[in-house]
Amino acid sequence: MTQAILSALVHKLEISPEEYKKAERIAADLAYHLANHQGIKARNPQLYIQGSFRLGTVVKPIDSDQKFDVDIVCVLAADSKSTITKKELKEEVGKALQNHPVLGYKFKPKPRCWSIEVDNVFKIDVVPGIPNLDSQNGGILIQDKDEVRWQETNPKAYFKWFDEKRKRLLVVKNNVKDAVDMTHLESERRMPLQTAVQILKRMRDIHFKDRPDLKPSSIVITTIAANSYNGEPDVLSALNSIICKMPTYESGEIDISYEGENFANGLSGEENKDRRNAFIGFLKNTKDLCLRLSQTEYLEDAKNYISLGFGADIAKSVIHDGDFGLKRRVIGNPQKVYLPQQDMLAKPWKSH
Amino acid sequence: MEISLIEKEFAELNLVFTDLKILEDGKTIHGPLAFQIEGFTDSFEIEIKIPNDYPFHLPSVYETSNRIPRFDKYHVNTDGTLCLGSRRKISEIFSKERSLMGFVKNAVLPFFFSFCYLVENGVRPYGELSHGSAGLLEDYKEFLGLRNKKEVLDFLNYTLLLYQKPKKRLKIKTRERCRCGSKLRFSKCHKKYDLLTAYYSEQELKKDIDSMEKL
Repeated sequence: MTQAILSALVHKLEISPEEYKKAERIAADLAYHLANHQGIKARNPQLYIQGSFRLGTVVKPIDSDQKFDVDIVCVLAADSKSTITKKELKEEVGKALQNHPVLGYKFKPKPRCWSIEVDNVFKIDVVPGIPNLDSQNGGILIQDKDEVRWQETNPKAYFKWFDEKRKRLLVVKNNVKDAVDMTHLESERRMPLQTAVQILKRMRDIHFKDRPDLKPSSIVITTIAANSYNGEPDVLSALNSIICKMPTYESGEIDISYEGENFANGLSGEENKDRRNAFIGFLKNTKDLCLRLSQTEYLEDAKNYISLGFGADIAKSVIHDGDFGLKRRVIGNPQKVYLPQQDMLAKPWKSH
Repeated sequence: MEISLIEKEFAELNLVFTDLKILEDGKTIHGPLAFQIEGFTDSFEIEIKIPNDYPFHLPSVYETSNRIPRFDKYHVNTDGTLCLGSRRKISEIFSKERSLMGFVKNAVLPFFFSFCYLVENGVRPYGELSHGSAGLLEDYKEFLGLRNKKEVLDFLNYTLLLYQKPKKRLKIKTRERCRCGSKLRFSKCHKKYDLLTAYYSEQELKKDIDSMEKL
């Protein structure tokens, strides 16, 4: 893949700056609202952004009806997990959110969080949590997906780890009240690791378009990429390095963990066999498509691989931008052929 | 010297696809397949391997230019063999025009068209089957207009009787109710699928039944 194709591609994956700004503004507004809310103020709420918005790895959704996620964590002080139940925690945060003068009525409870969709463009999830007193470096406890158990997590430490991986000093915008930390990397210039994560996430979205139930989570992709990144100075070499170094997991269990939190839980065990195989297949296909893109001499083939990896619309618009110094295929003597009628067309089928 | 069936059929194919060549073994055709189908103009290097017992068994087709990624998702095996469709469907298609030309035109080119369409539009033009036995079942369900595995297997096991010698075949009375559960007489309902026995061998059908039974 040439640097030029890559730059053109990456450009198409971005969400518009206006949309970012809007998401940022609404998220900050909600965070300040919660931080100052009488109902939970006594619990000294700490608010911060987590996930791809914080890491600066958001990609444009593949369908216009899909939203991009902004995740906010709301940590309420509690002496221990026995002094507050998971239900109470969710209700307290929920009540405070629903008191928001403009958006409150739109909040809906979702597993482990409260969620709101804004302008059909983005979805803000507010995840309630409490401090994890066993953690040395600011870990928290949130509900698991079934809302049965407490789950340990540490978004701030993960962010710090990722940020160190991308070899860049954290810029803390400390002009706001301490309780609200709206630091995120979306508004900064993207570094090669972040762009490589965006590329892999987009390839994941296309690969699992027809089977969203098997789709690996963003944090799995992000962690693999960060672990395989070696500080390469540009996106092309970062991506090459990541796809060459990332594990194939073809034998044995998958362990993608950071600080004891294994993000690959949904990929292990007999019950997740299909997900695991689909994930291994995805890594293989991604590697193959990237290598093909980097080696092709022909514009038509580049378009094919971009389409298979990133989507047909992006392929058309990237190729529309230029020929990137690639040759055009000369097709000698093409025969005009008519397709048989519909019921005499075989649907492609692989026997195993 | 007598001209073999393959030589004759290749000559017919070669009149249209002039760049294709046949190897000395008389069983391997290779070269670029350049086509223009519904606005898609493209060319793929292919190799067609014709089995000894052609036309009772159908040729395998390889995409030798390695332009389509060798990956399940795109229905290409790692050795480059194209997964054109279910054995039954390809046999049915071949039965309509039993020649290499018919095979290339009706089974091979639509595969490349389907790929070009996928690349341009992000979806397959007329769908695809799931991998393995699940895909076979989808194909039979659609072909027979039946709803589930049980109905399909019941019907196919019943069809197996049709391969028997004429004496035994008499067991199937066209006046009796069709096994598909429609309450119609066999003659008014699934009699037309008798045709399956004309283009699909008993062994092939048994193999499909076995594989679907394991589902």
